[in-house]
Amino acid sequence: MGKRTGQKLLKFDRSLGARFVAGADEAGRGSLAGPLVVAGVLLDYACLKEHRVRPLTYLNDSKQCSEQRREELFHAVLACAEKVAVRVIPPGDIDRYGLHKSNLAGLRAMLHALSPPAEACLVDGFRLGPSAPEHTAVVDGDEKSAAIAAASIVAKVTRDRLMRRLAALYPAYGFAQHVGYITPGHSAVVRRIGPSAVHRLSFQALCYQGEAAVPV
Amino acid sequence: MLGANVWAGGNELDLIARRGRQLRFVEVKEKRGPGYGDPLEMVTAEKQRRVRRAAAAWLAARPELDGLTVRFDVVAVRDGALQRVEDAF
Repeated sequence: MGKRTGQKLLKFDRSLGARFVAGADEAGRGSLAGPLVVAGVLLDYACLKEHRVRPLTYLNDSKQCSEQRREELFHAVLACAEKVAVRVIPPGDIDRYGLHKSNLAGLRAMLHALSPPAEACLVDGFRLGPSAPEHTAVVDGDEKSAAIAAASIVAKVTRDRLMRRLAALYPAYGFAQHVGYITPGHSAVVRRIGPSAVHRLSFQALCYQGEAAVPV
Repeated sequence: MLGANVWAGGNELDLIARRGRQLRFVEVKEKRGPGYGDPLEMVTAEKQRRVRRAAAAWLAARPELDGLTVRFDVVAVRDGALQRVEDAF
């Protein structure tokens, strides 16, 4: 059945005393292939009461949910949120600007998209620097805050769906199984046939050197 | 070098180093014996997540380091040889 974590996460946001709470998170940071997806979710706590908030009962950090639960929560978030922002950062951008820079820029853009009317902006883990709207970095934010958890769900589901489509375009790599993360199987394919157009070539992965390379 | 085997946020950080305005959190992996093994393969999505959480918790306790950029590296040690992957996750 799963834990009814939603109440706890909503309570955290409500305790901030703001009506509009924005949360941002990403999916696909450490992946070898595919985009990085950032998402922002704005919740209006003047509206999220009683029956309107019921779809969010099982809201939790995306990684702690089954795939099916994530899909359900994705729909619930879209139904309950005041605003949702998503950005897909392509592998080319990651190669050009660097992973961390691309990630921070994306998260900043999400908060900007939601402000106004966001009154409290929350991100998971790391601060975004001075060019972001005023915000708070919440350690383990995707487990504590409803807005951040909602953003993590939107980012993950969006990314996973994209990766399943990319699996159809590039069937050899197993994108449907590992959504682009490096695994022994994924590595072996890249070593044999080379990377696809959606692999992040800036990653210093040994498998990019092909079968001729002998590892250290 | 700011720390080694640091426990933060319920997880361990193998190495924390600073170079100028950049903080580097390094995950060290040891691999014994022959056979293919990309250092990146040894750091699963779950492990990445735990290291990032630990780094966030460690940083949260040190507001004086707020302006620094952050990077996550993986270092693989195999039969005495070192291989580093920068910006691994």
